[in-house]
Amino acid sequence: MAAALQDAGLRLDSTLPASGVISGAVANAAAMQSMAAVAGVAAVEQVHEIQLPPPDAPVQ
Amino acid sequence: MDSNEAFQPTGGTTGRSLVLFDEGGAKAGMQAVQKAVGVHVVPASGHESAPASGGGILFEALGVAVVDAPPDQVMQTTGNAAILAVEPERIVHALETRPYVPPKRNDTVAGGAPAATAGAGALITGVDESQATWGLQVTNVVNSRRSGADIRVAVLDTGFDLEHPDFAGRSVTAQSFIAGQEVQDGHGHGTHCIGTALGAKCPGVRPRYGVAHDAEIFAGKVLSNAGSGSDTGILAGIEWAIQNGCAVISMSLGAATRPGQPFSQVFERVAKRAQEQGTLIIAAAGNESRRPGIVNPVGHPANCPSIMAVAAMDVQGAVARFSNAGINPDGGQIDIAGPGVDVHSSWPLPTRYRRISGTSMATPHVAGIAALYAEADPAARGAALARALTGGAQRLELPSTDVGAGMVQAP
Repeated sequence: MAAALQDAGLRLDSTLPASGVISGAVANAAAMQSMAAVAGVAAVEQVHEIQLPPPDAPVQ
Repeated sequence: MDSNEAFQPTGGTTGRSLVLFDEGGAKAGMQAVQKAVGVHVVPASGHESAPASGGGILFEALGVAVVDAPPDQVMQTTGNAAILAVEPERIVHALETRPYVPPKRNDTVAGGAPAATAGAGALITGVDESQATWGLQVTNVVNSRRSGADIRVAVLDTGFDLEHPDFAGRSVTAQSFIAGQEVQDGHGHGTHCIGTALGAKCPGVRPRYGVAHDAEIFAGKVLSNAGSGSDTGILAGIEWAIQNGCAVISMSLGAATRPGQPFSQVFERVAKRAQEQGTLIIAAAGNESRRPGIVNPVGHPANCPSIMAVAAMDVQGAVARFSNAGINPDGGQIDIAGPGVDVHSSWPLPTRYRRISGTSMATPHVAGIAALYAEADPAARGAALARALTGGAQRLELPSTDVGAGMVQAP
């Protein structure tokens, strides 16, 4: 699976077998489509960024 | 007892008996009861009302009969192998909801947090936090004999203060998933959450602030010392927790969502796979709301159906002003609520303790209590553990879109 995704243009970051997830980077949104077309891929999504408030904030 | 003697029912019972028969044995068992006790029994089908005096009614599909004779009489005179149990028929009443009771006030002391709490948010005045935080009181943790022993709890956050004296002697496994940063907590958020979920029964300075005081701590740093991270690190942390046999993953983190936004299929699948492997993921619903005017939907990834989304409540039993709600129709539900306003817990040295608010603080209350349920029942894992938590929650007179099943309660 990882090899097939790399052939389709994924710059591989990590494979997580227990979770069933492979993460990495692609050049553009169109490349995400070609990832989705690889056999065995259930979903392709953009990564969310998380940001906590600063340490001295009263609500975290 | 003479079967002709008048029977005076005790308070709450009718004087009749419920008789449970072995499957397939109802007919034979019923004949034995009829012959011995002298009741005339009719089958339930075709008869609507309670049996007439001196009679009985058999619910054939249930394998249960109601017999107009007291239990000790039924039990004495039969002894038939088809009878599994005999109980008094109880009188039932419509129930009143048990109102939420805030912890008792201590009118002579203003607040309970020690002076070491630098930079804290608003102090609670009048609530007795001399022994334990209000959150441990309203969740009944203070009365639980469970400790989370032999249960592994992963807290995926900004890491942990590995030098904090309140955790000396604890089993701690720590791993950083942030490139270039050690797991040592340079922010504070992670240490606070680990304190709530897993803090000591007798910390160096009272009050007690932690739930599962004997569980094994798995501190995964998926957020940097600046408090930032991404799905990549979170997924790596989830993978690590599953591989290490953690029954619970606590994630006090998230990204805001818009109304109508669908949940992540990736995280939903991961959460399901985690459940199948005995790991339950519990995450904060998010703090983007400003009630009453602004109510925002549950954030990512708590909005996944297979992730337990936790809302925050205050000491008076109200939903926290910032707590998000289950307003997105597809996923995005609030599952349960926990104490999330003015929560005292550990903080990296030298500050040592801090009082802050957030759905981030409610989440580790639920995670720690999940460890208590997991310890109490080896079968309580994954989806079954989620059901134990929601089943045991204190129902509240508040919308489920705000509080889910209600305030989490310790076993």
